[in-house]
Amino acid sequence: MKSILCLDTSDRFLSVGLFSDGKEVARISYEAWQRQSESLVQEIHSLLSEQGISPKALAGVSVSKGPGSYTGVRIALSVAKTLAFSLQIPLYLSSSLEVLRQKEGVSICLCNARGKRSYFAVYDQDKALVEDCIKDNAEVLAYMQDHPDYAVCGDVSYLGLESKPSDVLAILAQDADESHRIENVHAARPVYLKDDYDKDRLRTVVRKAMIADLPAILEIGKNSLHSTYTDKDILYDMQENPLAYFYSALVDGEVVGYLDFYVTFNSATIVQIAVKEEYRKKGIGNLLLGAMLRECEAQGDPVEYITLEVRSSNLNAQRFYKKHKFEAVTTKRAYYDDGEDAIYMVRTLIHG
Amino acid sequence: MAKILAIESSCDETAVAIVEDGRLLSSIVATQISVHEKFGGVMPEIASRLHAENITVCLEEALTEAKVKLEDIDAFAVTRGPGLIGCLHVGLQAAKTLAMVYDKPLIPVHHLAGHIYANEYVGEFLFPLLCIVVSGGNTELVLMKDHMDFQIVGETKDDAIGECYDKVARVLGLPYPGGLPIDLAAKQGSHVYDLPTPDAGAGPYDFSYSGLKTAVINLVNSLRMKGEEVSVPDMARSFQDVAVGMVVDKSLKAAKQYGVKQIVLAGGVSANSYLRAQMTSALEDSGISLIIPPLWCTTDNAAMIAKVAEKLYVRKVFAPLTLGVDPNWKIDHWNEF
Repeated sequence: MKSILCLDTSDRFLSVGLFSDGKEVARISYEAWQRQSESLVQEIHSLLSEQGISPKALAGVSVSKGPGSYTGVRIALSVAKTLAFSLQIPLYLSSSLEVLRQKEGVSICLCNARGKRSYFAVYDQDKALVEDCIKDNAEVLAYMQDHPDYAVCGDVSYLGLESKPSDVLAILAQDADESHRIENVHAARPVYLKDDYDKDRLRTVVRKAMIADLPAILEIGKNSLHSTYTDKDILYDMQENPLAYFYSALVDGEVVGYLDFYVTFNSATIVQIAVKEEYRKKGIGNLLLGAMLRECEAQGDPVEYITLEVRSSNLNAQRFYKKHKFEAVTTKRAYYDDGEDAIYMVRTLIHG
Repeated sequence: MAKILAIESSCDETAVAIVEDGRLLSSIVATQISVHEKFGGVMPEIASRLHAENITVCLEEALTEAKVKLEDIDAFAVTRGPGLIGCLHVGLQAAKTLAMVYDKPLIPVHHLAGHIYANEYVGEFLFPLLCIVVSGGNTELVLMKDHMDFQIVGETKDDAIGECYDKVARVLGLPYPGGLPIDLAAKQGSHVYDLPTPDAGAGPYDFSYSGLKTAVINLVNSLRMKGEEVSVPDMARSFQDVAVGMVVDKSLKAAKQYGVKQIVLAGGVSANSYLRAQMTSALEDSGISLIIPPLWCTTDNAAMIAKVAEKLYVRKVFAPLTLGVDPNWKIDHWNEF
């Protein structure tokens, strides 16, 4: 009897399967977003114990290698590598898109890559018609329209779509063959596809805001800052207010953040700065502040300090400002319309 | 008696060590420093990727060097925190998998307890003792009245001292990590720049490094704008005097208040020659002994994790297979997981 353990944590699920001579013996599969690290090894242990099988009796491990959630892919792969290394058994790697395919017909295999993009591949059984890649969601949707007879596979709720159910564990068991085996277990590594670590930063453009940016700015302000600014308020700052400077940050042509600030004589005040949620922690706020500092330096009257108010509950923003040399000076009680306190922060600019 | 295999992956070193009754059989460290140099700091996602690539190689090396088989290991230990979350996950999966396969205890170890106990490779602890934990992620004074009894009596309220060294090094055009380059440059310079000693404004033994960092950056920028040349050795010396001076002053005061018999240095910044020299001369004829860790213990390694694991093995501090990581684990909560 040849027992193969199949593992997948490359997206939101945790899946463990035990197959013997190609037949399913037992499986566990449930949504375990951000609990995969705690649960995976325990689930393997439970499943094997219930079948009365020792881990030492395993004949191989088959695991998905990505693309998908970076951390998720590493969790199952680290477990699989350690199993294969310690037990000296074969390790089989399959693409986490490949294992979403249907048993018959052509499958479009998808996984959310965030930032309005998808991990995308097209498989006809085990043959890739389109290799694993990253595509903008708009392109993905267009491809689907052009190929209505292809099955859509994977968790595509992020596209507002439904998919044909996949049997990832059965495919992993089926793929536990020589073509998927990796000879040197140490060399097994996840596939990320996004290998360029600074990609988002490089593709970000900061420029003066334009009227066309208005809808996106209103949306970001509402979601990020509970801003009550109307389109008139924003337009006034963009076009008429002689004190105001307004910048937009764009990724691939999409407005993902903005900064509105005033310069009055020797001081500048940040009125609003916001970055769309899925683009945070990618250095976009830094770029916006950088543009502001350059503007301050270019003033005829030197700007000596920058001030701002931030909601006392917005600890992320406060950390961001502290990183940028702002210091909390005082608390302004009930500063906001809803009664929340503001922290007043100041950064001093030094000119020679 | 017991053979323990320990795994460390909390930051930028993948490490595996094997000990047997206090004797180190092997200690393997796959360092990532050359990769992170390019970026001027540890990039968490890159570090996590390298751990996933290195982990089984390090296991194999450690076993081969120790001439031990996995079947002979009595317990598997792992750093559970503090550290970078994605990095911690990798070591945790490996340790849990091994504990499951060989049906042996899983021992969760606190990373800073490891840095402190690295000193046991040098000398025996005398209690009460004060640990000066100074690294890229931590600046803490920890009082120990007995083994595995940690009380934080002072800590940084903002940046860690090592972080501050890295940032100052970057401003001065020195390489990453900044500790050694600043230490070396400072030896050629003198204290000519006036830098403030920041007040943490909290407890008497608390630290603040963010203000010092900002003061250096502002001073360097304003000198450059005036077209004045900044002397790197002099700035390094002025900075180091203040940064290390704070540690020495507060440690001596705390040592006096708590009547400690011994002070031990721990963490990456304990490799700093100026800190070592200042502490050595300050404690001369004081009746307080000083343990300085060997340089190999000042960087992350698994030998120190194994040292703590031995203490926990005797106390039967074992974790279930559902163990998770804790990037912010406090040392005084070392037995809560």
